[in-house]
Amino acid sequence: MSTSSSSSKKIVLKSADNETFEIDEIVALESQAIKNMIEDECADNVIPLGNIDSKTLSKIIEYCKKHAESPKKDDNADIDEKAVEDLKSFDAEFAKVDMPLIQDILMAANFLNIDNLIGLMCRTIADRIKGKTPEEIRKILNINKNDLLSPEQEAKAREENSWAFD
Amino acid sequence: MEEQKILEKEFLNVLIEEKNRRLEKEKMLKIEREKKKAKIAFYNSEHWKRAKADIKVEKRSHKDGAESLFDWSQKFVQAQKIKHLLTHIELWVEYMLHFRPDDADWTMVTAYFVQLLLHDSIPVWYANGEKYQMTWGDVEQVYMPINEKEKHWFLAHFHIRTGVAMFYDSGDKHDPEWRPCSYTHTQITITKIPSNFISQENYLAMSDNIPIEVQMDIIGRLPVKCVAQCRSVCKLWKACIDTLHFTARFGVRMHARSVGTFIPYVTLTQEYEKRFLAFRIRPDNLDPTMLKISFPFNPQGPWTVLIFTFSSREWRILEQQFLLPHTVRIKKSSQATFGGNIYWCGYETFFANYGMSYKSYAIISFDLVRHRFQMIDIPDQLLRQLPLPFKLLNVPSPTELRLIGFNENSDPFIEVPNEDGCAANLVLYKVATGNFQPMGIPEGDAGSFIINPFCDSLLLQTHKDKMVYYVGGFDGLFTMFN
Repeated sequence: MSTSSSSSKKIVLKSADNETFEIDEIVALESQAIKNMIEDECADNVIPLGNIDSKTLSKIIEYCKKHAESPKKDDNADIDEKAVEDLKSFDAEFAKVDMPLIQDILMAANFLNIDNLIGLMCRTIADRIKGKTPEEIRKILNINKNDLLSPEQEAKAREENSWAFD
Repeated sequence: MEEQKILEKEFLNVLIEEKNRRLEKEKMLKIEREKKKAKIAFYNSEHWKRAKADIKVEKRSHKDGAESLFDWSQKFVQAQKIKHLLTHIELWVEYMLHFRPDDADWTMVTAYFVQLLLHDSIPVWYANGEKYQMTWGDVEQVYMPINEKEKHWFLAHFHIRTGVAMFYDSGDKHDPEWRPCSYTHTQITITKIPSNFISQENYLAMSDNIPIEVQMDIIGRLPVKCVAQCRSVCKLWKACIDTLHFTARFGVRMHARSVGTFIPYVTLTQEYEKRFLAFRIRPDNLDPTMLKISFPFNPQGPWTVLIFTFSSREWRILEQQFLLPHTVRIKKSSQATFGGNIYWCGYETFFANYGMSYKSYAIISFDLVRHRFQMIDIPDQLLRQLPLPFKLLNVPSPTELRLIGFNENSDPFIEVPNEDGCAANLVLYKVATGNFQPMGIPEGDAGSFIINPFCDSLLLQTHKDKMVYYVGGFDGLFTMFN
């Protein structure tokens, strides 16, 4: 397996606040969007990511690095269980950030098309809103106040739910 | 020797202690680093940029046409540290205004307010409801962020009626002092603010920034009950959750949604020994599908299977060649559904040489997509290992009860007969509290309640043949319905 060998090609990413990140191509390939760009040969120079700030981008690179270095399932059928555990605990640690950053990462991961990371962030948000009331969910996720249901609509929705659950 | 051992042990202990201390320190350092990182991230965030764009006004015009610089003009803004603080405060104010309940007895002004006051301006638009929705006449208190020039920010709390101003400072504690005031005497108290009062945890990202399909991906990971809760979070979520697309993608069926259709009645020319209905929503296209299966009296006669789909709205006879052998029978109470199949326990009766009959069991499935039956043999190993659950239950009752099944807490569902013994009610007996809880299902014939592991339900409201059919209920609870 070829992980982060010094001879590997480098990719340069530029964040919205003009910070540049030089990473191994193998790390960048975790992103389906960048992979497509590389395959289409439009990633010769710097890849500008105008909607991702440097903080979010560095988090994402941290994630991609770890995942690129870990043995892939299709590489070897019986991969080290320890490696799987290691990756799991890394993911768990990685997700321990506050909600605004989680949302920023999710947005960026969606843009860069990094399936695993989208899944991880979605799971994290789901865990945090699980069992919460609609009001709490609105607060946690900062739902647009202009989009709330009218009291009648809300009462109706609640009635429909209670039918099934109470 | 003994002494040396003790010494060695002590040395080891010291080593371990030292190591623990080092780990502790490293942990602390890591936390500090994380905090710092988070802080930097905040200053790089969209909010900060938006706030920065908002404070670009640097000059103000006087009535006489002259211009003067505001305190946060060029020089002020360039002081990096203060710039951050300014944004910080501005954002905090925005945040407080955003989450301010409509009936709150307080309001906020932005940092700009005090700066204007210092320039002898009276910014009434903060108070008259012109720029901000709250008029000061409606509130008791006003919070004002104030900058002690080039030093740091603190918060003033102004009580309108009494004229008392309290100052909250995250820094040092100061002694109270009194100052003359045109309105009344103003008490000035400096109190320490909890450090997390103005902290970045208060800033939330807008979920509007995340594409709706990703938001639905999040909701799709929740248990059904939470999904139901999410229906009342906002209009957009409700609209998205209530689509067939969401149902199809995440396999979550909202129980409040029901589909009604007219089902034409069909009579069979053939005499039958036993017949029953089966029902399942096809998972791939969500088409509710019904089966009507009849077995003839004559064991040599073929089955009759009719299929009704809500999309076609008509009964269709399943061709003979797709039916199972005539001798196979289905136990109708064994019906279960999973994925794209309906399953039953089926059996075939055989006669042994010496005239005894015995039954051979198999699992029978019906594929809702291909409309085919299939017989699956139960492996011998599985038959041998079937668990036999035993449970000792003592339900206090003067009458004879019939056990129907259990809920997820292992509390029994019980059929309680009425005085005349002909009708019965279904109740749940709470083992923990010893209470009977009615299930809210109308009284039914005694012996008519059953429970099946079913999750789709079919409600037949009138049927011309006066037969009694199953009614599906939530959580696999069943009763009969005329």
